[in-house]
Amino acid sequence: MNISLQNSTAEFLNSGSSISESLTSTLEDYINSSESTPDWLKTLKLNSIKSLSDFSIPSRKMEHWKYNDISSVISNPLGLKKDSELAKQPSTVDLNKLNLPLMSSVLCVFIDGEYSEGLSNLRQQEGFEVTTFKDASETQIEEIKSSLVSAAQQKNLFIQINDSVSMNGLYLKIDANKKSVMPIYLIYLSTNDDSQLTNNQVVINCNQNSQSCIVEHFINLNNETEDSSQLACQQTILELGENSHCDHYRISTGSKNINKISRLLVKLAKDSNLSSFHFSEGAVLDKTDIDVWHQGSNSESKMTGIYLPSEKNQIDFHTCVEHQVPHCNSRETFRGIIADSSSATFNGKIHIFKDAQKSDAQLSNKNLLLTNQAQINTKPELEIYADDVVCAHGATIAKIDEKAVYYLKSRGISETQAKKMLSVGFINELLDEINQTELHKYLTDKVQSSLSNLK
Amino acid sequence: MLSIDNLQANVEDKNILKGLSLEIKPGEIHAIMGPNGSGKSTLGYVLSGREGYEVTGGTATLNGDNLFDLEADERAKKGLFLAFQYPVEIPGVSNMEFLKASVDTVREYQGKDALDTVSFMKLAREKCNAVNLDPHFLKRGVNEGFSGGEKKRNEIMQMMLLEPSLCILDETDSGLDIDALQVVADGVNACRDPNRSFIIVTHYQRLLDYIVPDKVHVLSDGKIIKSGGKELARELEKKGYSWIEKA
Ligand SMILES: Nc1ncnc2c1ncn2[C@@H]1O[C@H](COP(=O)(O)OP(=O)(O)OP(=O)(O)O)[C@@H](O)[C@H]1O
Ligand SMILES: [Mg+2]
Repeated sequence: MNISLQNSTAEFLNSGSSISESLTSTLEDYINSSESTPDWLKTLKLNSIKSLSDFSIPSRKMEHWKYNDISSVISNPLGLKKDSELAKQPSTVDLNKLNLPLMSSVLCVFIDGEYSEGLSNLRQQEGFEVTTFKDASETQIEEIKSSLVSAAQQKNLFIQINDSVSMNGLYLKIDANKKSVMPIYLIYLSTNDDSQLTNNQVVINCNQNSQSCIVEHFINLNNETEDSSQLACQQTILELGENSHCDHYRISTGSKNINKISRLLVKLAKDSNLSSFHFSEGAVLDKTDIDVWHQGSNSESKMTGIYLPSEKNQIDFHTCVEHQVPHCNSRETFRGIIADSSSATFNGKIHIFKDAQKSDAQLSNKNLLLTNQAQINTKPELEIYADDVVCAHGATIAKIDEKAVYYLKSRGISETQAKKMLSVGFINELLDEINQTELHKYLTDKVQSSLSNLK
Repeated sequence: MLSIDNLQANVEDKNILKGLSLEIKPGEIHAIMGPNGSGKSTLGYVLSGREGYEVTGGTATLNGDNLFDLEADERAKKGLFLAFQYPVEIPGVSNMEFLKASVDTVREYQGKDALDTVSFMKLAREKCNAVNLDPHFLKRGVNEGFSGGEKKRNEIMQMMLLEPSLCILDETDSGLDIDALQVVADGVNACRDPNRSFIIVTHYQRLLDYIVPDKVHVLSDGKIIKSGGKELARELEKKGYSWIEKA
């Protein structure tokens, strides 16, 4: 049975209106009718549904949605599969055929939001725990609850709906002092070919003094329809305990006929260290909210991002780095190459709290426009309430340097190849920050093939 | 080798070359001198096919091919090489990657064997040494942060790798220290070949002491107003250009 959101989604057209009673009660019925969801999770979900009334329907008048065309999401009814149907998903996917990197690492695979035990492989590694929310132990339940509740946000209705209806999720815990060498590879596969809303939540707890590598990879396998109204929603909450180090990647590849709206929240405790790498090839809409909260002093975050939209794709990154406490350090570098008539939005906010003295925050966003139709909306935002801080931000938009094209051509290199070399050159140094060799190769190849259609 | 007849060209609708003719035989070295703004670099750009440099009249053929029918990259493949007065910096593209791509396409076009990575690196290092450039320059971005003289030596290194038939050196001597000047001149002399010709644009007689030209031309206001042997350069050094321009 599909539960249609149509009545409510139709209202998305009416800008700024609030969430209807009918949507709320539809979702409540959906939760209550689930047979396999444990009571604690139902309670959490029903509470989350209540918060929906704090949200308005997205409209272009809102800063968060200003540059997004979500018409393909709202012009069709979205179906929600019952959890009993989700559990029955056929796992016809052959991971080996996808040419993925890191296949010998710990694999956690999701199909349309649902964890697939069959495709996953925990490699009998020690030093971490993996459980679905449904199967969580008492202690784990408390940890999951506290993570989810403290992750509340007010910006994105779809993330809230995801929080309200995702019946299941995965909890991953890296034990204290664990210096894990093997990366943990989370693969989110989208296989739907109809108008479905898929949901997923992942909570990752890196306990104190641990070292980990977490790779999140979204892959859309559905090649059938040209313009899909499919919407994949996802949220990852990554908590870094004291003095923990996490090398994190979040990448999107595969066919582009999907809408994806997702959020990453990272909370950093004292002395912890995050390196987070983002990559997107684009989709009908690929919108990512990234919140990084420095909650413990001396924590450091480094974020790097590459986005390569083409055709009519849209990519949107809304990042917000909060320095909530003194003596933290954040570095953010995003670069985009915008091709054809695609568009990209980068909104990077740095928020320094009143007592967060000695904060050091830097943000840089550079964009290369390949055509006259390509669009970029870039906006760094600073909110600084402390006085003793170092804060630098900058955004640039450039076109291919014709002088450089000529120089390369004068050495026998064709115009197309010249443009490709210059484009790759624009993001090369960011790719080089990928520590995982296989992943570096995989993404370098992706960049090459993404740019191979240059005119 | 190169045959230019009554060449006229505009930049941004401004007429810069005003009927220039020049004949260069295989193996010859021609020096072009002339006042600032007379059109020397423009000539190099027009011959190599820079966009925005519009040919409004005349012809130019290289080994029989009509240059103006060809794209810039095709001209390079056919053996035309321009050493830039101001080489372009390309951050993010390594010198090595650039040189390999360039040499690969040109060699492929000319039907020469492809060089595998190892032999190419060996060759590139060799040429680096020949122009006294530390091989670690191969790893840096193309011309990125190179000093003026290093950029010029990088140009000569490219010339050596590509083995062109016509080399146009646009003020390659400007900004070089005395030792580097010697290195560049040695490089050029080592490349001399009965089947390779050179156009050397320079302001200084000094370079021509090292690289002895067959002919010297004076370019002024878009035209060649005087041609002579190597002694003409010496005369210009002494007297300047006004005596010819007035004549
Ligand atoms: N893009 C341009 N727009 C307008 N004028 C230009 C442009 N490029 C070149 N010119 C003009 O064309 C003329 C010839 O320039 P060119 O660079 O060929 O001179 P040159 O002989 O090489 O001089 P120099 O000895 O200083 O290198 C100059 O007057 C210059 O200002
Ligand atoms: Mg010049």
